[in-house]
Amino acid sequence: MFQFLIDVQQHSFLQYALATGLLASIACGVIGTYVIVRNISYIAGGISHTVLGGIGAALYFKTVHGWNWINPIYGAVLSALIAAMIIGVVSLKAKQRTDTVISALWAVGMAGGILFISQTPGYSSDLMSYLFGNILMVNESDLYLLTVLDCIIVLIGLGCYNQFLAVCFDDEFAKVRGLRVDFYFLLLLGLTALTIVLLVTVVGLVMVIALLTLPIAIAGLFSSTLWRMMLLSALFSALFTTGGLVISYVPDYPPGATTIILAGATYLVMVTGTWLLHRREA
Amino acid sequence: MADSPVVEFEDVSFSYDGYPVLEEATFSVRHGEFVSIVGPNGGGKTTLVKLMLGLLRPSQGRVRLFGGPPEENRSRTGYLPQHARLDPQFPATVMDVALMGRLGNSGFFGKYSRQDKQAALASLEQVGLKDLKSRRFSDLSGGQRQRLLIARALASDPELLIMDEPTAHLDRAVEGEFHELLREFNKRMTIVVVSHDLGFVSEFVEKVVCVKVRVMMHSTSDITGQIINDMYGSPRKLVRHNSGGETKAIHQCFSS
Repeated sequence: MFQFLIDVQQHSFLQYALATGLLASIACGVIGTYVIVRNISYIAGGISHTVLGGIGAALYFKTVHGWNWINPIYGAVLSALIAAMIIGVVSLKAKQRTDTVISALWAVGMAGGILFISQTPGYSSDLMSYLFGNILMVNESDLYLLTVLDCIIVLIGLGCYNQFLAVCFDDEFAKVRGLRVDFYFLLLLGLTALTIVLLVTVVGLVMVIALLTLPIAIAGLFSSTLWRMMLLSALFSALFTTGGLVISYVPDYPPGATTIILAGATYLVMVTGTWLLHRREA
Repeated sequence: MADSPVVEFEDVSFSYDGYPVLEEATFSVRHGEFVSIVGPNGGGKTTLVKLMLGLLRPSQGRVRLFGGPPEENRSRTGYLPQHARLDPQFPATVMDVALMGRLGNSGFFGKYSRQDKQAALASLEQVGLKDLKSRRFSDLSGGQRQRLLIARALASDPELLIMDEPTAHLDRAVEGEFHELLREFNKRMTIVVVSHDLGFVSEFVEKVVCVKVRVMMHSTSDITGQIINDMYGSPRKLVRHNSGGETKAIHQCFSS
């Protein structure tokens, strides 16, 4: 803890890591709340795994074909958005087969990413950091990009609060009221895709789903309104990403995994605590 | 304009996966009427409502709402869906839900105006929930939840009120009050009520639309035991009510 506090003042990589965690937490609180109340965490899981395809392709074209302007985050954003739109359109048009399409994208996205990375010299070792996250690898230009993403997500996510609330609560009624429900659903999936890209840099694409659900589930125990749930889940998420970073620092644990374990343990304690409290009252 | 029916079905059929849910429905609802849609469960009543609102498209035939396509005019209706669909744990307050009735007046970033808030409060007051406006949705009883959804439907000051099974979660005592409330609303708006329970068709309902795949329309005074037998398939007791010396409505025939 003290070692971390001393080092964070000297090492910029630690400051970037800390900032990335906090940025991701804001988006996570806002969008994760919508994801949970709209019951689309399986869609989020699907999107997060297709991200590997985009990252792999970006690395491949950068290294093998010399596209130096490309950042793996561009690939991640593009593949996440494409996956979100495919899943969105399928679930709006053909209501029964959504699960199949999500599962297919999930696996094919990963397979594509692994193939691209296997053909990219010198990057196989990075595979681990994309799968399980390495917040300590974030550099300054990544941080700018992530800040822009975060601003877009939070601005639209909070700006359209009333619309998203109505679409998540009762989309049929919202439609009758003249709201373009399908548009807002796709917009929400798009924002979910961008949030996932942010979270992938923190905990890796395999564990994204944990950060997108656990802080929100904990916040849900204390929230009567959506905005309160957002605020609390952003706080919990910030607590977990920062805590994970601090705890993992001295013993050199993987920070992504530490963050998730911390979140999972807190969730378990909170749920059990609330349950015991209710039992005592009853 | 005043003469064109509020709802008009012309030879409307709807099938789901090749299975006919509704066949050749033709009927209309005129301005100021109070119409009840009745029929057995699975008979296509909710489908009829969704076609009316343009939430489903007919496989055949034409549906008009306020003389035009339902998609364009449906915001002039207040809609009470079957509330079993909603997530009872949803983190929203009573006021949040009532305000949803004011949606659609706004642009991309829709903020509710002071006027919207007043309208939402006024409709909460009508159903007796104004004092609970900060209460969490999940803390309401089934009956309170239903009243809240009615307030939401009223918040837009609709010209047509469409309610799908409004009494499903109300107890008998509240139901009487609710009927009074509807009679009051009927003075300023057209009302269409879906019910699987013909008990709902009390004195103030003027027309009954009977749905069991096929649609028949009756004025309440014309309903006979024969019609009910045809529709429900088994003989049921028909109780007629006398109001003003004239047999006008039926009551409790289907409440078994």
